Amino acid sequence: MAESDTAEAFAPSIASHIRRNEQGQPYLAGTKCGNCGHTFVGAREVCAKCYARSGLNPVKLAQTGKIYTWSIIYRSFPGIDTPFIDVIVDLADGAHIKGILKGVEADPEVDYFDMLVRVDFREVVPPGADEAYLVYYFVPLEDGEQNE
Amino acid sequence: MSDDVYVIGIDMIKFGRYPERTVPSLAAEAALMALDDCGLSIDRMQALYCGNLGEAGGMVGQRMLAEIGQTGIPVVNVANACATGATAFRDAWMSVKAEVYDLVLAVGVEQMGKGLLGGGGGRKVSTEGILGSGTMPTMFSQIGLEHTRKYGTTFEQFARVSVKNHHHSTMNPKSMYRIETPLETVMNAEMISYPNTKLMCSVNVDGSAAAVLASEQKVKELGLLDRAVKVRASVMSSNPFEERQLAMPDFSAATRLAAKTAYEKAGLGPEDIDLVELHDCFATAEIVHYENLGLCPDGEAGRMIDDGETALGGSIPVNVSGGLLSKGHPLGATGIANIYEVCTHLRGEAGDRQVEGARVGLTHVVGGGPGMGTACGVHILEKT
Repeated sequence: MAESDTAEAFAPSIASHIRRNEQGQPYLAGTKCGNCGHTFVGAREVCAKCYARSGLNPVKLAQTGKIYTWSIIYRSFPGIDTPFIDVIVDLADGAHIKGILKGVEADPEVDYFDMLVRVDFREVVPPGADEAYLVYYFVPLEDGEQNE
Repeated sequence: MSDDVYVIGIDMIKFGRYPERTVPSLAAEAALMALDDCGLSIDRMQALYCGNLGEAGGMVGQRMLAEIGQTGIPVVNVANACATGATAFRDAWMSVKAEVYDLVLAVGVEQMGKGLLGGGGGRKVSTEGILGSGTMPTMFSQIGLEHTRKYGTTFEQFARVSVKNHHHSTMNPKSMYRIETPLETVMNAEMISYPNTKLMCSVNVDGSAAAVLASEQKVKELGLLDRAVKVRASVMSSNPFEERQLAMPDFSAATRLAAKTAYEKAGLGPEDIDLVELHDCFATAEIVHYENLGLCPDGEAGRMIDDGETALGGSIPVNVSGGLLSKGHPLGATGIANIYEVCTHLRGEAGDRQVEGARVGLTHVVGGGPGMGTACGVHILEKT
C-alpha cells in the first residue's frame, strides 16, 4: 500500500468518473469539447460527436439535473436488492448520466419525468465486495435548490 | 455492379432447450437442413461464415465442419452481440457480391442458460444496484418510457405487442412457446423492469439457423431459381453519435440509419414491404422499431398496435413467427432465423401463418449493451 495519505484516508471510487478533489470532496469528472461544446461523462481524448482531437477539457460535472427517462427494477442479478428506480438524468451542464433515484418510493404510477434531482455522494459496500466504495445516487432537489 | 445474390437454401431447428447438445452439433443440424433445402452437399460450399456469441473464442465453425465434413474451406467465425447471425449472413452475402465465391454457407447458433442478460460495463466491482442497472430489460424499458415521454404510449400498448407475438407463435411449429397470452396475463405477469413484465421479455433458448447463398449465375446453373429468394439489400450499421447514448444505449439511431440505407439500396420504401421480422427482444423495443423502420410516422406506433395493423391479416404483419418474445432468442441464431421466416413466406410455405401474397419482406436485428455500443443489421428480401 504505497499510496498517498489522501488515497488511504478515503474509500476508493467505484468508477473512474467519480473522483475527489485535493480536499477529498467528491465530484463527477467529465470532459467538455472545446470544438462542439458537448459535455461527456468521464475522461476522453477525442470527441465522439465532432471527432475533434484537441481542445477536450476536463470539467467537474454539474451536481443537479432533470430526469429524462426511468424504469423501476423489480428483478436484477442475484443478490441485488430490489425494487429500485434507475434514472437517466440530463445534468444542468448538458451531460447525461445514469444512476439510482433514492429518497422517494418506487411506484410505477408516479410520473418521474422531469423531476429535478441532485447528486448525492455516499460510501457503500456493494454486493459481493468486502469494503466500502465511493458511489453516487440521485435524490430529489429540495425546495429552494436551483438546477444549475 | 455484380449480379444479385440469392438465398437458395435456408432452414432453422425448432428453438428450445438442448442442454445435452453442443454448440457445434446445433450448428451442424441447421447447416445440413439448409443444404438439404437446396439439395446440395457440404463439399459444394466455398466458404463458411459462422455466427456465435457464447463460444466466440472457440472456433465453432471449424468444429461444426468436423461434424459434417472437413472440406478445407475458409471459415470466418463472427460475434456481434444480438446481430451476430445477421453479421454472418451479411459477410456471406458480401463474399458472393464481391465475386470472391459463388456458393457459400452462413450459420448462426447459440446455446443459452436461463436468466437475465446484461452487464456492468466490465468493472472489477459490480455497479449493479449501485450506479443503476445494466440488465437488458432495464435498457429497453427506459427506451420504452422515452417513447411514453414523447408520445404518451401506455403500459397496455406495450403489452399488446406480447399478446400479438405469442398469438402468432401458436401457428409456428418451430417456436419455443406456442401459447396464447391474453392481455391481462401479460400485464399481470411478474414485473421485471417497468413497463416490461416477464412475458414482455424475449425467451433465452438454444437454436440454430443456416442459409446457403449463391450468385445469380450459379442459381441459374443449378436450376434453383424457383424457390430462390433475392437479397435486395444487406446493410449494417453501428451506433452513430446520439445525445444520450453513453448513459442509455441507443438502438434507434442505428436502426434508422440501417433502414434508410437498406431502402435506398433496394430502391424500395416501407410501403413496399409485405412483412417484417424485427428485433422484439422486449415488447417496448417492437413499438419503437415500427417508427425506426418507417412502418408508421413517429408517434403512431401505439395506435398501430391498437389497430392491429401489425398482426397477421393487418396491413403490415410484424413478427408472424412469434418473434423473439415467443419463438425465442438464441442470440447468434436470431439474425438468420428471421431471414428464414421471411423466405418461408416469400416461398408461400408458411402454412397457417402465411402472409398472403407476400413478395417483399424485411428483417431487422440489433444488438449491444451498456458500455458496448450497437450493431444493427437490416435485410430486404424479394420473391423471385
